[in-house]
Amino acid sequence: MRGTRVMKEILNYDIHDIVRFQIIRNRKRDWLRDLNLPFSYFEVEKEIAKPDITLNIGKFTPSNQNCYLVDHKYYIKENYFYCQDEEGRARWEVEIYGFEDGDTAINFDGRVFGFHQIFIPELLPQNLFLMPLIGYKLSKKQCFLVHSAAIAKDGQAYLLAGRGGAFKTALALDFVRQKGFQFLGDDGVIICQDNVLSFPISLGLVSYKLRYPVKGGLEGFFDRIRAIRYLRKGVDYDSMPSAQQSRLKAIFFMVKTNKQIIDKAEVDLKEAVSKLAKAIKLEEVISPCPMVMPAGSGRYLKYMLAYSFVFPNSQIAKYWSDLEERLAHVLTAIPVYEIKIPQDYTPAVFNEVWRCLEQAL
Amino acid sequence: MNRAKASENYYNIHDIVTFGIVDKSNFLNGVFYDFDRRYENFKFPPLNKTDFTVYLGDFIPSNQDCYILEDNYYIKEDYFYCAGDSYKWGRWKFELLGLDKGDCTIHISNNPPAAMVISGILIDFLIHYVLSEKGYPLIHASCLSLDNRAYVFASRGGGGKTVIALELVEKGFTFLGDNFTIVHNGQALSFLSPLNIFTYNLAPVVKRNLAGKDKLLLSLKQLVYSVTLGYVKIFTQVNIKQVLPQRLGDRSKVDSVFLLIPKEKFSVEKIDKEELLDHLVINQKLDFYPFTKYILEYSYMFPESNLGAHWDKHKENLRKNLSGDISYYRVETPQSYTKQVFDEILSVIKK
Repeated sequence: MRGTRVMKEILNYDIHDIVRFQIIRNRKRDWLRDLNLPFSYFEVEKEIAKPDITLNIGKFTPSNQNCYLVDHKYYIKENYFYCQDEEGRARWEVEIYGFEDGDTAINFDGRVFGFHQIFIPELLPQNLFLMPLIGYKLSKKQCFLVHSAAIAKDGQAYLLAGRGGAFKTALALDFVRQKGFQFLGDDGVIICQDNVLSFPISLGLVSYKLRYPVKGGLEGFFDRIRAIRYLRKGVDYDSMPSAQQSRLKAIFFMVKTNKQIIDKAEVDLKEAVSKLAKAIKLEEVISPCPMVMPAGSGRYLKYMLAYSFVFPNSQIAKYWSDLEERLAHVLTAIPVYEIKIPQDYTPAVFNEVWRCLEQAL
Repeated sequence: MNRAKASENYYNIHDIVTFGIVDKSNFLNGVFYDFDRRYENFKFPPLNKTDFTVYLGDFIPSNQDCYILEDNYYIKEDYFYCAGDSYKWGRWKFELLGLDKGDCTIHISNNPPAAMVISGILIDFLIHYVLSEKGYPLIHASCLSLDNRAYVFASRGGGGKTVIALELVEKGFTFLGDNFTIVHNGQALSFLSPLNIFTYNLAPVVKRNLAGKDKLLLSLKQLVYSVTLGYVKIFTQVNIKQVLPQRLGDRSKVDSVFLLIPKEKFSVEKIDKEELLDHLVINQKLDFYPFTKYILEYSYMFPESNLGAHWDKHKENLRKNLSGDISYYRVETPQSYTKQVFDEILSVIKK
């Protein structure tokens, strides 16, 4: 036992008055606050009395007694999950109370080997556990965190949905840059009744990309240095033309193909719902931190499966089929299109998508 | 010149599923591939037509005109190409053609560490898939029989499938499988995979019949395990026919299915069939986890395809084939088995 007491810092977040959460961490200086704390857009000053989720980062003593043991490593009891795990350059230990019901507390202790431990030490637990749990909590309140970009104009929102690599971010930013749209999110937005609520993640990085358009993210070394310098200056969130909420007007699915054509087709709503639900599920499969963990190494779906193995009648086990059904109730009478786009993002691609969107208006 | 002469092997499982493995890979991979031992008991003379063929070695994917997801998965109708996946130090890519329509081919290219896991990750799933499509669903379970009545023990890793199987063999039961069991029309069919043994699950019945070479390998692997602090855990595979000659069965009518979950104390309760089916399907999804995720990717584009709808169909197949008068139990066990646990299980069987 060390004699010095570590000062804890409590960060409070409020997502559109629907879900509130706290991050409790050892007080430390942030090198890249916008990247390390990607939910900063939702941060509030006022201490939240009864958070839906609490994420404690740091050493903890697990209460994994009396548990079912699955695959030698997952400790499971009702509403509780614990395991030690590793992947790529990351290694962690996590305990989740309220895994399926009630207020949720996540205890996380882990580290990443390499630079990321210095620059973004707390990103991993937020992407691995906070993100899926925020989606889960939202769904309990009939709101759905869908994996999609969204832009808005005159109070009308357009979803640019699609899987990773389908140029959602590039398209959304081009709409903001060139056509005067407002930004709602580039990786996720919340569908709540017939509204789309903003869900901007790492808004500073988004505003950097808006200012310095780069193809396909931050690939070059100098891009990264420039981005770090930009983010280090401090980000003024108000400078982003962003909207809080807008009415859902249309959904466009972007699918990348290795054909050289751009092609638009109408999609029926049932298929769209299935795709949106599957994309939410697939978010728990893909890497939560591509710089640290390899492709396809997401864990949350596996953890949910392990829990469902022990409790096949639990809410967790029924979550995905329920989600699709409930999403179907919310999405009615919305036009949906699928746009096939080629592998290279060019101005021609943007113009085509813009034309499709104009036709839909 | 990167290739030696290709080796071709053919396998036949109960005349239900046949497959070939053509190894055009390099020497080092050849040392680590485990399909020789893994499917030894299904070995068959060369066949002209098989349900699927596995090609190991570098390949050029025919991924033209595909949808591209996550910049990693190339998908078109009845075609799936994964440009890269990994498990610990292992890396592989693969291309799967014709699974939906039958006449299936899979090309796999991997690095040597992945050679040890590739059969479990990719080939086992294909066996499971084709068996299920033909109405012979596979479950992740061990199976023993006595007086032509089969007792099936399903569990996740660490649940005690193998321990129970070997203990019951000592008690005079016949062995049908310790990792997978095929069910069809109320019967359990054997699936003789090698025993995966490590120093901690070395049952006396196995130890007696172990060759000197295997004993040496076992100690070596224990050493590697200790040196890497548990990161590298290589099981020794021994052929069940060598260890348990004359104690092997082919098929029996299913009497009971037990679902084993380790907790603290022994307890047993009867459950209904639907609940057991849920457990079994999730067990299978976890067991084939990388493939569970490939299916999800494919079904994002083709939800109505056979592959896209696989888990629902598998459940339906299980429902249909676990037919007749079968008892279903959910058994909680202590985390390490004691004599008392075996006695309790035996007393349920004797009822």
